[in-house]
Amino acid sequence: MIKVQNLVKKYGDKVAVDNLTFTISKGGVHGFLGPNGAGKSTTMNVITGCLRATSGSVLIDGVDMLESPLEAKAKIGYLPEIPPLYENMTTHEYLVFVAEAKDVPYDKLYRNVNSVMELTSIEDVSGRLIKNLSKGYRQRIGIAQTMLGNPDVILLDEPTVGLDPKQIIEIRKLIKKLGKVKTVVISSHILSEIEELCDDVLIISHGKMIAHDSIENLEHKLEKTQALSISVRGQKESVFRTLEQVGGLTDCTVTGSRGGVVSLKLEHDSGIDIRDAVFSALAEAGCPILSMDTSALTLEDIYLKLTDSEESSAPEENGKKKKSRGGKKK
Amino acid sequence: MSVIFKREFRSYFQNVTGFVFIAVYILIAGAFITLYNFFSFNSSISYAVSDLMLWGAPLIPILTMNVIAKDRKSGAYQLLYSLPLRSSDIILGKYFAMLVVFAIPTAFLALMPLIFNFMGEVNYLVSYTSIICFFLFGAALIAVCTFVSSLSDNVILSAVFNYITVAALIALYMVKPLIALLPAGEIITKILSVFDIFGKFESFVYGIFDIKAIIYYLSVSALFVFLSVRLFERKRLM
Repeated sequence: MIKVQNLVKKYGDKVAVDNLTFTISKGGVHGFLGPNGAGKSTTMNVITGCLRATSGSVLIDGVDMLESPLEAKAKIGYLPEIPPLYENMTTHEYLVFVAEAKDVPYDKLYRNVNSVMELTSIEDVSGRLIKNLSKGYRQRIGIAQTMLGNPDVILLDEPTVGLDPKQIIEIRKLIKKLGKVKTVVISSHILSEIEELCDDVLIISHGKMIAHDSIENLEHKLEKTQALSISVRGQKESVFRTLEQVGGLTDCTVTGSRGGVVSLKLEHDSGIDIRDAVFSALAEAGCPILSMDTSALTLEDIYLKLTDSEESSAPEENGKKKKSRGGKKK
Repeated sequence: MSVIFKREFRSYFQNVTGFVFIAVYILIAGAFITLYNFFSFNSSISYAVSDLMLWGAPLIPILTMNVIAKDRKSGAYQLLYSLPLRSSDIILGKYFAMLVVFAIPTAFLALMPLIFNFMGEVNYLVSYTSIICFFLFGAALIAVCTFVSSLSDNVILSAVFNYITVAALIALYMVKPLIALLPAGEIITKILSVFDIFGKFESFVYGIFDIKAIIYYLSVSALFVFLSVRLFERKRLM
């Protein structure tokens, strides 16, 4: 649905987007991740025609943004980081203006406006001036305007910023719903949001793409070892001796010991499930397992691993080496 | 284009901008008409129009100074760029909205020859060609100021640029007769007359229809609207 080829965007000498190539398939919700200044908003602005690329091409459903901008833009709904609103207009006037600009036929225009207002729960502020509305309402009006004209692709830059928890849940539900019928691309710093909503993620750093895959596939690619956290009733030494016999275990660390209960972190090769073997060995040794938990990589771990490795390999700027994030994990 | 025109035209009346512009323009026009026509028992509106051009010119930036910068400030430019609209549609929509607001005090002027008719003989041809020329002068000045506004994304800078432009054009008109007195002043005056937007109306004051002035105003309008479109499109690259 979106095909970006060799996209380069330079601001003077600074390269904001560096030869970016990716394809986003039709339907679903796709996440766009990257540290501040990575080039996410620039890429989104180029995709939507707000910025012109230095070189490269953007195809929206096969239509070239540079060659046929009007046709390509008709297929897109875009919410930039700051909702693009006219403050002296009422909500209804603003949405009618956007619908008219998107060439929605007159007989469908008011139905279209009313339906997006209903979807984003802004009917109660239909007649109010936008300048008098809260940030949450403004954000929702911004989302509502993206849906006008029934575009195939919806791009949302930080869609839940400024919303209260209840509104965030509602908007996430709406994005999920939209993802079933449209191609939705969201840029967000809230990793849990991306994890919850997106089918796949595209991670960029320093204007370059460093990963584009489903979250599960990224986990598999990055996990060389997996870990198992257990707490066992018994003596530390006997628990240790018993676990030594379990095959596939690469490391065993005691994380705590209190009142005859030992907490351990067991690391093992990825692709091997050692839970059965651990259970049987400890049961035979008379050490009952009180709790067992597998700890898989979260999107945050994946994001930090990828962006940290990219930052450490990035060229030094102005003779100063960039600070490492420290690779802290949750 | 019509969708931008409607939005922009309405925006002038969603706050006091449009009302202030029209009211002050009509007030100045009324003052000159009272002075040159009612007090002097003169049925030609050309004298009043000539002075209205000069004294009303500083009002034009009220319409134009925020025409581009306000969208940059509010972030609405991203909406305009992402909508399926041409840059020319956006700029022309904004330009025609300003022209229609300017047409309102011009329409007030157009009523005057009809009122003068009750007091004596009126040369309608001279009066209405003067009023048409006044409207075209306004169209040209609006185009110039729109272009100047496009140079900056900052609301205050944009206003400053607008007033400097209008002040420079008025100053040029004022000092032109003095320059003519200098050695080689005639040549300098000829060169400067290209920028003399006010001086082009002088023939109309004497009841002479000057097609060159009409062509000049139309050309300036077209040139600066074209340049504004190019600049708006160029900012997409930034």
